[in-house]
Amino acid sequence: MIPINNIARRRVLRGMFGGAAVSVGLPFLDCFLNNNGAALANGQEMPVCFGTWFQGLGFSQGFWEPKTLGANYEFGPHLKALAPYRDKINIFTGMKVFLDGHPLQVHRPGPQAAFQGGIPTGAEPPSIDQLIADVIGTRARYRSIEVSCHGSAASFSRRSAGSINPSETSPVALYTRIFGPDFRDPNAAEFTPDPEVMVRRSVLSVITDERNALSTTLGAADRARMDEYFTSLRELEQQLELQLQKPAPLAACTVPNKPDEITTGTVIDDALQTNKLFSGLLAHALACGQTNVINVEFGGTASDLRKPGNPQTFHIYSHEEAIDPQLGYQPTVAWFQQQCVDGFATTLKALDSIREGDGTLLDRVLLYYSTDHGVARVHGLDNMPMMTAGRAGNRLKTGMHLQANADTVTRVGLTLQQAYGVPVSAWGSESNRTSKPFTELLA
Amino acid sequence: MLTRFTGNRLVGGVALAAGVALAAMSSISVAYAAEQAAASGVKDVAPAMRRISSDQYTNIVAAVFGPTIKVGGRFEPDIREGGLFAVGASKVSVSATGIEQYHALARSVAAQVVDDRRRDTLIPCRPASTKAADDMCARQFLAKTGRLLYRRPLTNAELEARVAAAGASATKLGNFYAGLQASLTAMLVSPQFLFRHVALEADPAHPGGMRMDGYTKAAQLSFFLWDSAPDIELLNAAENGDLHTRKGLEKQVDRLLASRKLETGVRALFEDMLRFDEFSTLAKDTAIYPKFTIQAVADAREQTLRTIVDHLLVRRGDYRDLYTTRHTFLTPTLGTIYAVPVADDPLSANGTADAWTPYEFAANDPRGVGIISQVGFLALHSHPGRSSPTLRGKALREVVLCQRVPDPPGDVNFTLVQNTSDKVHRTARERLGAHATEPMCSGCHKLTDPMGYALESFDSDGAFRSTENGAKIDTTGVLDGIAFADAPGLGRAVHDNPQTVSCLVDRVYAYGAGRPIAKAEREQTQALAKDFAKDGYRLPDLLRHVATSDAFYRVAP
Amino acid sequence: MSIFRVSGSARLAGWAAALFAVGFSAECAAAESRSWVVGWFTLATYSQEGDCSAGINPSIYEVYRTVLQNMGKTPKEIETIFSDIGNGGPPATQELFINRGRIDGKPVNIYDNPMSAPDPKFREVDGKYAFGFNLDGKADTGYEGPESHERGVDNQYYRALGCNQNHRAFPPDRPTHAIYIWNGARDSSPAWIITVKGENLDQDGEVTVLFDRALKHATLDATGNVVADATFRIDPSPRSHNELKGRIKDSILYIDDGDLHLLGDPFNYVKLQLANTHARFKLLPGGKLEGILGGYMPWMNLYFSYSSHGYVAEVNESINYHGVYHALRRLADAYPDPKTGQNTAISVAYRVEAVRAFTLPAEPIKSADAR
Repeated sequence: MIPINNIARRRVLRGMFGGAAVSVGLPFLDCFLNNNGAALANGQEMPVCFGTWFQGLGFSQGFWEPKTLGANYEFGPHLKALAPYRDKINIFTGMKVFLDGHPLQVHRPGPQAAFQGGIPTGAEPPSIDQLIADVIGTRARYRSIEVSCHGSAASFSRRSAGSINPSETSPVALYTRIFGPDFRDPNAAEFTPDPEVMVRRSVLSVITDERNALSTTLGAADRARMDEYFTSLRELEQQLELQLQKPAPLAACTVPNKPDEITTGTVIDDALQTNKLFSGLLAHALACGQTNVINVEFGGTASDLRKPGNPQTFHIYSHEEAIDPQLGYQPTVAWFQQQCVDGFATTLKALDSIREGDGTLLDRVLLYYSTDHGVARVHGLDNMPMMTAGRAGNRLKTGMHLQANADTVTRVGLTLQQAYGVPVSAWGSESNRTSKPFTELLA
Repeated sequence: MLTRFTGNRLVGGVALAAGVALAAMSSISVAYAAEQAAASGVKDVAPAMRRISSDQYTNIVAAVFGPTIKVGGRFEPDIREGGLFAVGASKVSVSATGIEQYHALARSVAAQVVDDRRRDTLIPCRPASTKAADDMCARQFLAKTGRLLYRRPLTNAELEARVAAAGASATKLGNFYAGLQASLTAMLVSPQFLFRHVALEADPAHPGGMRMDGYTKAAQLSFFLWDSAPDIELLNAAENGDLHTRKGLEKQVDRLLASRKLETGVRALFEDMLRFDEFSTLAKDTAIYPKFTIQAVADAREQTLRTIVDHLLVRRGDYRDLYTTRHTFLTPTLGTIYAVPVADDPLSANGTADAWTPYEFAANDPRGVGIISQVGFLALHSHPGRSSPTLRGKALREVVLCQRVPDPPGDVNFTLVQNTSDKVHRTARERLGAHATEPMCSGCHKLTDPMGYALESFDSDGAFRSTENGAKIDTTGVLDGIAFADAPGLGRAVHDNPQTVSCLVDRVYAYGAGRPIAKAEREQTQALAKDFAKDGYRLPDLLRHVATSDAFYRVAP
Repeated sequence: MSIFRVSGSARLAGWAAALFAVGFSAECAAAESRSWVVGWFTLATYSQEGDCSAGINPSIYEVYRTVLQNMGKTPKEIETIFSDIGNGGPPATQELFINRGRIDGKPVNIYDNPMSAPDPKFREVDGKYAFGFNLDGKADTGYEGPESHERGVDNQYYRALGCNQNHRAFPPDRPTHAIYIWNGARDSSPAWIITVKGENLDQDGEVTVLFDRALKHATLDATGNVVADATFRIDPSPRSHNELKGRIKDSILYIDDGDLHLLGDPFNYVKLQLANTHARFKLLPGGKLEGILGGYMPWMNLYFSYSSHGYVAEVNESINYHGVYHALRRLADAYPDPKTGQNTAISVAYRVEAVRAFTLPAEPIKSADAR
């Protein structure tokens, strides 16, 4: 095991300012430099999007983890289907969910910790997609869209205990909801600036108006620091001004063909087909600015996916099947897991095949992958597989393998919230609470 | 009105129209004065404006709007200068990303202040209509809140600009509270809030000279002792001119020292001095140290802070005994690392689980040697997979004794030191001994290792051990000529080392002043150290001496 | 259920006597005391290829298929029912399986009425080895201990269930069923504590072994194992206090007899109740305790630890609970009911792994005023 002993220290990114003031580098500076292909020549940024992708029962231990840390890692043999997207994927090993002595409510603590920051104890805080939607989702037609590929309307997306966002289970229904009669071409639609943003922008002039008075009273070093402050404030004002202009045309927006009715349910082939159709529709919905937040549930927790003509589910196999001594894993379970990996790759392909400028839609989206168990066979909550796929408009570094020392899974969620600008310094409850984001991704 | 610098070292008349000053009163920036002074050949610079820290931001919001307001986000990172963030705060600005974060944070705080649940308690008036602007009510709120956030009264022009902004916003959004929220947001993003400005005024005691104005003094005092902005009473004392009288100043200093908020201030001082920000990136290889969980990290940090607060404030103990005290506090998690029984004691006075239990180690137990034998210090200054006499010695020199240890050269071969499964060199002392035969290395290792060896009876996670790889650990060491056999001996040597005391005095002074100590101030800090000794090395007395000294508020040292 | 049932008052009297004994011995004899908290408590299996000569028991859906066939369903009807179940299915479908017992021709819940259908006859472990102890003193009945090489090892629990896939593992692997049962119990129930008292625990000699329940559950370290050197307050209730005679020889702790009674949690281990308790625990350098605990257990306790989970767990664990009942009943080997002659207890063996712990007596909860 390679110990994590090179924890990135905060680094000074910019040098001395005017020989006196030092500005200390911050994360996601890059996204403001707009060198990422997700921003257009006129400086307007394309909306940044977020999604979750869930599959029950994880992967076979020892067969998914990369062998090296950092960039240029190689996926374990069971994750080979993701290799084409490696540079856009961060993979996390050694993540854990802590039970703190609460009973193991099998299959529930994993997703609840990944989505809501804690294990089931009665509290139902908002899920991470909704926390991020508060920042990036409020102006889109749909705050978030949920789909489930296994015939159940279940969903982990919620504002509270009583307000769960149910999943769409039929691709045809989703098509009608997004691209049906109520669809309006985002590029043709009239633009009304958000009055709240107008107010936000205009009150900042109270500060700028004081600039001259302030500067004349300062010494050279402090003046340089104030200059930098006001340069930064100007950038903030410009950001707000951009939000008040008609957004850049979504050149990649096209209306997809209406899908055919298909059988949905727990048979794996149906789930794969459903996922493929959903992924295409969601990609178009994102490209057309209909929503900025999506939630995909490929298989449920305690996955009920199964082979045709066999009621024995993936879940039952996970408990019952013996580990093949030659292979070192449960063969049928691994087969199911690889179908899930194929499903994830299908979703990534749908996003990555929409070209936008020099890049693809996947460059301004990030999907947060989670599962319910590290070792499904024994309901284990150690070494929970976690991934992020997509560049989120360069708000965080990608293509990295990070290894935690049995840290709580909420570190990933905190990192993502901070990358998306959610004002939060700690997230989660009890031992699953953390104030340690993966700074190496942010810095 | 014209003002003029004529201090004994500031010569050459510099005249300024103080009326241009932004802050109320006839103030100019000390930095500007210092620039003028520098132009006239004087090198030492006076305090510049300081950016408030994330803790200070949080403390101020809690003090002004109540502790239920949530403050969360990624603050701009701080930088450490002269061993302190408090000094680095005079160098940092706000980056583009930083201001985006401050803006998001300000919006979140402002939204909470005006929300349905809080508006009636936090806003001192009701608008005529909630759907329209109400300048009179807005003015009342913004004047009161602005005084607390800017640590001085707003000028008329400032206040009216903010009232107008609130009014325009309320009209635009059709909501009085939304307008107030917008204006409050701007106030919280303003450099007047995010930076502590230094305002000067003519000093009647030294005709032609300058002094900090009352509000600047008030802020200097409250940030020093409370790590937060002045409260209303302190602002009133500034307004009345009380802080310019010895009696008035002493009254406020004593009030601040008697407040419960002093604990917040003392924690902030030691978190800064002991570099506790490093806890945020502290992790061990848990395959080797399975007990070192995230909870253990949090508890280790809190253990040392609790020990400090208990020893220095509750017991009013001798500062030097912080390096020998056998008293501490443990949690069940820390109990597993110390390998001593600590039960979850069922309920605290308020009915919640209280994880902390006072604990006293036996005399001569190496685990009971003050804060340097605590898990926090030992684990912070170790490698993730092994202990380090060098890192521990270096930290003792730099953090506790204020000495500087040079960084190692870049091209050193560490293989020998890192191989903890070395069959020949089984202990760290043997490995380092072999490594330090290289002359390039031995110079620095002589500074650090001989004191670090005494702590070799603690593994990287802070757990006690008497052997390493089956070999008995030799804990003998030397600090500045004093030899000792083990950790308790090291504790006594640190206790008796005169630099232990002078280091604290220097750090406390620089922490409060926000700048490194100038040569000209040596006499001042030596006098403080003498008084500190005379008073039996009680921290509250030292804080009082600093806070009531003229030099602490002097424009230039 | 006849074994070591003691009336309440007699138990209390025993407890008082035990208290006295502890107090007395603490002053005069026991010079040393060490405690451990149980980190793993799992069925001791030694599964090897070929030790189920008749094969592994069918999976639960094969069992259900037979149930449906016996009801006279056509293959097509069976496929429809299975497809329904795969998609979440109507409750009525599940009831077909839950109520697969028959009393007077009417469907009844099989878990509550396990005698309402014939014994499905689990295949038995008929290999040479099993962990455990020669409890009946007969060298010619039973297995051979794989490590102790003791003959006549009695472990009928393993014989009864060891041919179910999730009861199979070769050490150091642990069987799946035991792992998730223990995971659940460990994280939600008060910890089990073993304390050894004696003159000098580093030397051979007689010792006293206490088995107790703590007031709180065990906590885990960063690697997910029970953390060493934690502190536990001991539950003062006599229901989970046991004091057995033991001996240490060559750093192995042996228990050769005695009754053991530890409460568990209602879901996973209702209680651990052993007669003729035997133990062989290695006291490892570094402080760990590891070994085998065995004895006779009331087999109905064991059955309830399965059947109380009901249909969903039967499906998820893929083990026929009805078969569990009959196998345990058939292979029970001790404490015959005086009236029916049916044995009420079955020989068992568990693998115990424990780490060092501190113990403190229970303290009354402090009131707000007391602080």
